[in-house]
Amino acid sequence: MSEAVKYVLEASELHKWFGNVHAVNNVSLKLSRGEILSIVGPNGAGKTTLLNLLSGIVKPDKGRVYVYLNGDRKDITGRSPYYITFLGVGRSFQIPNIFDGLTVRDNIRLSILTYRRLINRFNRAYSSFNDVEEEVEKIIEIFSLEDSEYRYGRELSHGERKKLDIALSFAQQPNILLLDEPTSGLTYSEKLEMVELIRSLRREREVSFIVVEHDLDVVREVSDMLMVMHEGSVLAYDEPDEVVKMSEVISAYLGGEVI
Amino acid sequence: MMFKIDNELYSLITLFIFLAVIPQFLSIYNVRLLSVGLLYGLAAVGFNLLYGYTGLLSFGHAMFWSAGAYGLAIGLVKLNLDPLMSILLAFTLTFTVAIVTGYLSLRHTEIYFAMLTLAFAQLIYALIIKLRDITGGDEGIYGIPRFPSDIGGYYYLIYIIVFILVILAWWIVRTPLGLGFQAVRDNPYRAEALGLDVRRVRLISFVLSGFYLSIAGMLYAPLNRAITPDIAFWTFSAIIVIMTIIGGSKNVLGAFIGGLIFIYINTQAMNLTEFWQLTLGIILALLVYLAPYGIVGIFERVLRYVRGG
Ligand SMILES: Nc1ncnc2c1ncn2[C@@H]1O[C@H](COP(=O)(O)OP(=O)(O)O)[C@@H](O)[C@H]1O
Ligand SMILES: [Mg+2]
Repeated sequence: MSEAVKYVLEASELHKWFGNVHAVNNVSLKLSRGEILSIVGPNGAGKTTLLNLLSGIVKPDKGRVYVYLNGDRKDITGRSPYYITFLGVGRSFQIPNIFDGLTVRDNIRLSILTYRRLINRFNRAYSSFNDVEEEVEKIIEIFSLEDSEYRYGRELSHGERKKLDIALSFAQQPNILLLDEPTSGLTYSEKLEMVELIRSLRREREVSFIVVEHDLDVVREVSDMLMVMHEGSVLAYDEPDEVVKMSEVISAYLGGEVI
Repeated sequence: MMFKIDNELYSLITLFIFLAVIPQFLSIYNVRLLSVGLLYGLAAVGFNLLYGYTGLLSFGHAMFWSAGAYGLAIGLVKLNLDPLMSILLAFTLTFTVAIVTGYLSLRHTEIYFAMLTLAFAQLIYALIIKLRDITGGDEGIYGIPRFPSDIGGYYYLIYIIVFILVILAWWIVRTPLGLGFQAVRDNPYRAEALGLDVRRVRLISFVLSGFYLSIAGMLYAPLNRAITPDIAFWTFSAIIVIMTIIGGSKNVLGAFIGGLIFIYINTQAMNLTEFWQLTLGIILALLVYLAPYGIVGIFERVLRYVRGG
């Protein structure tokens, strides 16, 4: 495979400061099609900030971000989240980020209507809902949200909110999903379900993932590549088995918190 | 299939059937009062598209009511235009005010947005006072023609337009655009991350909301036969906010009821006490604490209790 076909996302030498805090310090990565890259690291390591840089929510102070589109490498550094979303990069949030005053169904509808740019097409106000109905059903099914589809966002459990958050991004048919701690706060069985979900999305839609994750079992279960971050820097970036071999070094360094 | 008749629509239609019949049993004075009630209801519904549905508190919506009322009155009385041209003038004025103030104030949200809309509205008030030749200054504009000229007939003109616009609002909030309003209200950051053009949705809501107020103002000027600058003063903006909160900002029905009954609360309370503004303040504070969803919210809670829910 040529480079351009193989890769979907690239970051090169990203830096971000918040005042004196060097939140992201010289981070580079390359994500291949269908790859699952996990990022681990203690609180404050810069994982969320890295995802924010990739999805355009935060602008880097230095470095570039690229996506690969039909074989072309496209520089998206500093572009708006809005623009980056339409290039196929979706993301979920550490604290589930949904619409509390809308039902689960309307949450998903909104996501699809936005993606298809049907929100303010007055002339199509009637038909728009019908056009997306089939897709809405599919998303509800994939994420097993049938039991809660008519409940309001504010009425959902933590696990359901997490799922809906990811569903909102996935409904936009992304090539790349950036998931911030998708299993945190979930019960054991919900975690298994989430792992299965990530795998099936990868398998069936060739979605590539960057997953920030605390649970090492989950990481070893799903990842193709593993990155360890600490105080903004990359300590290791390799296949999970290789990283685990280095784990003693790293855990000494991190006080055993992560690995 | 998407726009199922729901309880809110049933309630609205029942209310409007009542409003169609009731004038037959009222004195001219009360039909006139009810006409103002309908226009306040329309104003509250329009205001609530922005406030309850899009999550933006404007403290300057009197400027849209005035743009409609003054636009029409200037056209009819000062420029001697025919009614259609006068309406067109009022709409043009409203659109200009809405786009300019919307563009400038929607860079901000929450209290900053409220303060900016207040500032713009006061600017327009000052303009109305200053541009005496066109607006009549403090004295306002008199002798605005009314058609049909009798209050009873004019009531039904107001009624039809308010009915259409209120049902339209019920419908709008159920379209994809209405979903967009609510998403922006609930979580603008997430909406943006999903690719929604949040500023544009806010601007659409602002302009739409302004047009509702403007049409209410346009119908008000002939009803009253005269307009004075107090319809542009900030206290009227405050009244628009208050009546919406009293009725309930959760839906179209709540806002409409708030506007409809406000004129009665206002006249009753003014008869009862000289400390009306203080009383109003207390009522409002109590409502915000005890019944955040207004009168309609209380009613719903009682219903649920009765049904044993
Ligand atoms: N918006 C912000 N403003 C100021 N400091 C921030 C901001 N976001 C993150 N930080 C700081 O950057 C560092 C990395 O944070 P974060 O990326 O959230 O880490 P992680 O997700 O790995 O826990 C922390 O020290 C945090 O306090
Ligand atoms: Mg984090």
